[in-house]
Amino acid sequence: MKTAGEAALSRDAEYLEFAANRTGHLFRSACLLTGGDTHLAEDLVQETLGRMYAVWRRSGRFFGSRRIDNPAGYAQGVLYRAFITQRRRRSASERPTGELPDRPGPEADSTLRLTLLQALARLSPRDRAVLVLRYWEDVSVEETAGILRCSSGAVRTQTSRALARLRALLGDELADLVDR
Amino acid sequence: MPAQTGPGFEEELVQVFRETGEAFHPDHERLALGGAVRGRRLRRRRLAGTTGAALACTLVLTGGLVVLDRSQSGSGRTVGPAASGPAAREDRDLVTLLAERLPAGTVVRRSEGTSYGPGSVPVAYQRAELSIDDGHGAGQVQLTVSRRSGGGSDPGKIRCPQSDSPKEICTSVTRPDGSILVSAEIAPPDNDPLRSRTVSLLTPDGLVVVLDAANFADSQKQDITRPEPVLTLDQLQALALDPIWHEVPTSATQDGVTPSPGFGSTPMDQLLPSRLTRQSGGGTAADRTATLTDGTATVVVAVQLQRADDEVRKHFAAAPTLPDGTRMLTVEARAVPGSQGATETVVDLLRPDGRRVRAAATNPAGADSATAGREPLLTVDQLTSLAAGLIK
Repeated sequence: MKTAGEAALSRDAEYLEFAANRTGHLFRSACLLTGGDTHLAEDLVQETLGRMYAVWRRSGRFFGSRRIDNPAGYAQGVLYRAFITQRRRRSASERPTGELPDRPGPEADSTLRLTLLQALARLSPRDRAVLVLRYWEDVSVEETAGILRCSSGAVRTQTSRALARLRALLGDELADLVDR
Repeated sequence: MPAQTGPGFEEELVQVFRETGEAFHPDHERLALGGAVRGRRLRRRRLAGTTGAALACTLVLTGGLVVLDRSQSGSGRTVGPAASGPAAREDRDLVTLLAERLPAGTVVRRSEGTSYGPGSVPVAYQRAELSIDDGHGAGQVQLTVSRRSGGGSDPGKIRCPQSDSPKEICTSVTRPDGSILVSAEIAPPDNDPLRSRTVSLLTPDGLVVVLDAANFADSQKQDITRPEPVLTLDQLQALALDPIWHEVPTSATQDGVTPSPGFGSTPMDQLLPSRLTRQSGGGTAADRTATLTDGTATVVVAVQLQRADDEVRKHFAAAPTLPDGTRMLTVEARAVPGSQGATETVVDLLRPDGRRVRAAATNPAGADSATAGREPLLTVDQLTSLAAGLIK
């Protein structure tokens, strides 16, 4: 039987393995959610990993031995909900600007990516979350509803509206850029 | 009329999402460790909440018993109201306290803070680092809160630095309450656009508050993001004088937490060969540094202490074990990677109690130095004695 210290070390090792496997994807999702703001994305990922670490370190003896069957899915849900909560909090102190700020893009010659990121940054947090879940994560409507804690119908409606807004922002740019 | 979306657009979107997302490259290790730090903080908060709830239950139960006792015997002791718990300053960490006090309209872009040093060793200060934007570009603000065990009678480092730069301005003021407030504009003497402002406060009871504002947002890269630092000296002074910092727990005397594991009480000087003279040195609860000379050459000694985690234990897994159970890794007089003449000798010890102490002696010689390529002035045995002696 493991001692408490050995169990803690084992849980730390499990957490690090999970973080090593999932940090990349979480960070990329966060970058899309934040419209390419890598600072905010890092903040979101650390918040998500922090909650995962806290769950991992729970001792069965004192807090119950609830196990998470799908840690990757759990972290995904944490990330998206944390994003929406964070943006809700920030919106009280931030004022929208007329022009899009220059965002640090992933690479210098990434016109296509910057176009998408700048358009995403102009959508509401919930619109962004729905689009990133559906078109980046390839998550079903039902799973999206579970993550965002709303009905499937709401997800369908929101997806449709968010797509229309994005299309309006991008105009024909997307097709042109993809064709290059 | 809204733009029409169709399968073609959605297919393109999937492709662009994939290309865009995959172009971002994270710093895995830093994010994972940052997550662990936040997770530990979250657990402490939850634990404090659980303990508080348990305590409240105990008080209710105890109160019930007292009432029962009084009803039975009529001699129950009067119980005063339960003492309220400690102020929730630990819950609202230094980052939050600082962020709440920034000028209206300031947006926090990035933040981090810790009361831990290297290797999660608790240190006797709390630090917050924020990247903030006032609408004219991002800039960095750093806050450190610490206490001096001997009080605030000796200004020590809280005084204007000696500077050769004509662009630097510094004033030191003793306030009516006896506290010392030092304010400085820092600028390199050359055409370097880097600018920073710093305000330090030392109060009579030993509280030390240091605030820095810079015209860069990232302390690693220090790319200039604006012409002037993000806060003025007046703003920094107002922040430094905020009474809230008195409530921040910072040391063993304040919060009952003894930095552990830590160095022992033996000074480094007593553990060094007598032929070496110390030129400078310093350290925190988790590290010690010194520059020493034998009259002809110098050696830079750095000793770091940390609590071993799983990764550290793996690092030492194949290391030889000494009779007392200590595992030991050494490197002798190797060329410092990327240098043109510097060499280093390193002793890395993992004690059976989980403390890891790493002592490095570096010959800092450059390519044109007469001592380039020579082995450092301390041997493996001397470094081992130093490392072992410091943690006794």
